[in-house]
Amino acid sequence: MNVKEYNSSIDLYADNLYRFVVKNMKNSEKAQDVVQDVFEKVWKKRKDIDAEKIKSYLFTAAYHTMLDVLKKEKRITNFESERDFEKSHTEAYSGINEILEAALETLPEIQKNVILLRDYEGYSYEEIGEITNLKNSQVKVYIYRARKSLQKYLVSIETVLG
Amino acid sequence: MITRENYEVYFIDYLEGNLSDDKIALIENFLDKNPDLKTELTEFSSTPIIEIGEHESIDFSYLKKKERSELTALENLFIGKIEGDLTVSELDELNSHLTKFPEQEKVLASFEMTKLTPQTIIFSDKQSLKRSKSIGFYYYLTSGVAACILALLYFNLTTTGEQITPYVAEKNSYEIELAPIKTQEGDNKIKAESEQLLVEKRIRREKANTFIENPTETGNERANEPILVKKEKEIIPKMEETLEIEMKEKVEPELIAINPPVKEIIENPELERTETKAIKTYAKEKAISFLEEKITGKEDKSQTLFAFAEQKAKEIPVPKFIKIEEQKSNKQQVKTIKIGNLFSIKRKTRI
Repeated sequence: MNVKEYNSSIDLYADNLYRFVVKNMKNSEKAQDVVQDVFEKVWKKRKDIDAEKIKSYLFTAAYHTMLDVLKKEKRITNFESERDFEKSHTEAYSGINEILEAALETLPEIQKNVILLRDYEGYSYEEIGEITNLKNSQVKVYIYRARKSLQKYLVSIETVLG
Repeated sequence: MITRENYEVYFIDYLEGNLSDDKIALIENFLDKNPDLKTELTEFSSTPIIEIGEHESIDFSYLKKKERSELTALENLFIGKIEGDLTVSELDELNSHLTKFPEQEKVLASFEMTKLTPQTIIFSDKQSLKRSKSIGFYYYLTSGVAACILALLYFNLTTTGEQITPYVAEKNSYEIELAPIKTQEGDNKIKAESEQLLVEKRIRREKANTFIENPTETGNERANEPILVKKEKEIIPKMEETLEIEMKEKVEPELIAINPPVKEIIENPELERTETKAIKTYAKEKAISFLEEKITGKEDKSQTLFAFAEQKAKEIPVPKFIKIEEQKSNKQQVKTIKIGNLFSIKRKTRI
């Protein structure tokens, strides 16, 4: 890819990439660092990158960079395990999106990642598999489990709120 | 023999009543000698002992981990529908189920609500990520920058920043050298591309009103070996001047507009703001005239440099970070202009 295509990829995807990372990391400064690192990597390898596949490359690089950062922070102690749903339901929710945001936080990291890639970016199972190094079938299982968990959370909130 | 190393065993037997009178006497004697352990014996005695009957067991179920609740067939259909994964027959199956149990529509709706709506989140620092040049043009850019510097130096450096006084007739020797370039990126490529640009110009010059010719010279000799004499008829030695331009680290070609009044501008930022346009125009004119007139026989490169000089003269602000240093020894005089960490330009004059 050339400089023009590189700059264009920033206009097209920097926001989405940042959204994906910040939703996971919950820290805007660290998320910005990840995005900068990713574009730095792209710039260095731009000659080997096909401009048409830049979006996938960006998200793959962001995903792995983010995991590296989180692992270093030892935040991912139980990456595959279910989290406890018994969170406080006393928070005041103003809408479904806010509830879903809270529900998202109860998901295991991997489920959260695949759901964000699926719903925010509209990626197929195959594309998510490429980004996360998972088989398509695994991606599908994680998405299904995530949906089930989110639905369970929504229903429980509805019950609590009446 | 009871010691401080093995007393715990005796304490337990003592508390459970398994000791003979002799041993009990031994313990009591031991406690008299080690009063600090009396407290420990008391604590031992207050520790509840759990007695487990033959048919009793302890409930360790609390150690079990929560099992993942697997999706039911119906849940798979619900999720499959919102993910668009269902086959025609599966879709039919779901629809017929919903027809039979319409209350399940609500459950399906709750699954549909799990679709996240993308939020608009802006990455505010996009501009800082963008790049403005490619390595392929690097050589031309750096050459262009160098040429522009040379143009400006040629016209300005020797005027000590006081006055714009282009030299008129020439009779001197200039050796202009572009030092090897180092950058963080594309070092190898740049190394290959940045072969030293050596432009050697023999420029005969004399300042019409400053110097007069040595009356002892013949016309021919004067043309080849200029010996200049000041008005006072003091003979000055021939000077060899070398300009070295070094670019460091990242080259952001925000240079160019070095101008005779630059010293004033540095000292007076307000002036910079107001004079910027005039300075850029001046830089542009000088760079262009230098490129057009002095780089003869290199038309292709000249065109590239011309375009570059023109573009940069339009775009580039006057740098605020210019330092001028002078060093003088018996043999040579070195004047260095440093522009941030990007460039240093040395003019060496050997006497």
